Amino acid sequence: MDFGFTEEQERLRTEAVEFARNELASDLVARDAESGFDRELWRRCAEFGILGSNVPTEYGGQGRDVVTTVAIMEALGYGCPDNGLTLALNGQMWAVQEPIQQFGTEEQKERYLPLLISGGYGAHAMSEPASGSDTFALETTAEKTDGGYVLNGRKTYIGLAPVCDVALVFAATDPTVGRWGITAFLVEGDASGLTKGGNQPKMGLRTGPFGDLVLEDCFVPDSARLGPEGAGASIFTNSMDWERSFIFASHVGSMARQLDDVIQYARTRRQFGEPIGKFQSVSNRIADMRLRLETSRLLLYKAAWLLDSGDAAQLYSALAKLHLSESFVASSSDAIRIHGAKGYVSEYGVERDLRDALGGVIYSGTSDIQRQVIARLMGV
Amino acid sequence: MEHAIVRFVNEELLGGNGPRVTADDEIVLDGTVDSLGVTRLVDFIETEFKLAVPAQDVTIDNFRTITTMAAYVRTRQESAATT
Repeated sequence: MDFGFTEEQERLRTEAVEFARNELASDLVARDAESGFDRELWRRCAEFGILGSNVPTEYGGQGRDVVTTVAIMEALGYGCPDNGLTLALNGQMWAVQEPIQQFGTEEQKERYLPLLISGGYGAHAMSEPASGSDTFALETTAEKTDGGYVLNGRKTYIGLAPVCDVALVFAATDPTVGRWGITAFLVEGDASGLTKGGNQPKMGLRTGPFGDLVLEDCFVPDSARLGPEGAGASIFTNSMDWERSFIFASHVGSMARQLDDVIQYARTRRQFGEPIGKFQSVSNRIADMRLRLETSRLLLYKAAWLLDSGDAAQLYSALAKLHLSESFVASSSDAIRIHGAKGYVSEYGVERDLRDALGGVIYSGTSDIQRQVIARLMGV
Repeated sequence: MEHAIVRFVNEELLGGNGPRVTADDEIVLDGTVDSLGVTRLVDFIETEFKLAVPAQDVTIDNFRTITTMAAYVRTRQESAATT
């Protein structure tokens, strides 16, 4: 067992941190306040090779393994405090590009992977007004017709929906058999009958666009179906293994950055004649932050190692998703307490991490759902 | 093969409680085995019969009953043997 990165992985991580600091620096406080998505930053990430890191070279990617890609995404989060941007990147990579890689026809891979990794936008559209935790209770339908399907329904709370070039849409082709009648489709952003909603204001992650997709008699050809009819639920479950495992990869980097910041602050901020880090109430919090960071990393890379090996990772993806999301909330809260009033005001960006973190215990399956998954997969 | 799957469902998924399923019951449609149960069932089939079950193969045609699951496994095993 080896817990270290290779020299090549260390080099890539260093480059990712430098790229993030040099190329992704922007007026984040202002963009957060106005929920502004910066397409230029996305383009730079694509150009740097972030989006194509684990996409095979024949489709224009870098063809890296999962562990290496996750290491790069962690480093990106360390160098880039824009959690909305890094979350959107991870969402597209793991929940849109990965299913296309795994289940797409050669034509679909050739059409969409080069588009997405070169700066296009991909949305993963599952949630609906009446189906959240009850994931497969879909009301969106796909009716078979000559040469394709006609989709009708509404998808809600979808990352990158307002700007998407392609959406992975799950719809019921046979509503009489529940999850067994769900099918996956790749719907292009300019498809007739698809309406992309505006950016929906939210508490955190404001720099990542997010909204609804409405399908009204939206025709897609047979070639838009991803996988066989009725395999949509299994494709979705598989995509969640990837998303839940890695969507927080960059947030782990954020936790490392938070830790560096609070250590520096605790060493330099003086009260009662001493650096505040000398007080156990502060140093204990910092120790807890380190513990959360280390345990989060272990779960993150265990999941990456499992998926690199081709092993089932549903249990570990649930463990990682639960622990990383809750840890980011707890450490973001601790960072505010350590910084005091400076942590609470918007000017310094400390409070933004907590607002960004809170969504993580809801999206991609709530913490309560992850606990259910973990218990059930252990036979409880 | 059917017997091993029936036993897994009855003993592991259902915990040995309640009515016991048979090979021809539509256990994934009648709610006896839910989504997480399907995940465990797929894991069991992969481990027990030493084959990978791709997500796109987890369809109602292959998983309607334990009989159809066994038929799927046999098809995969025969395919592997001839390649």
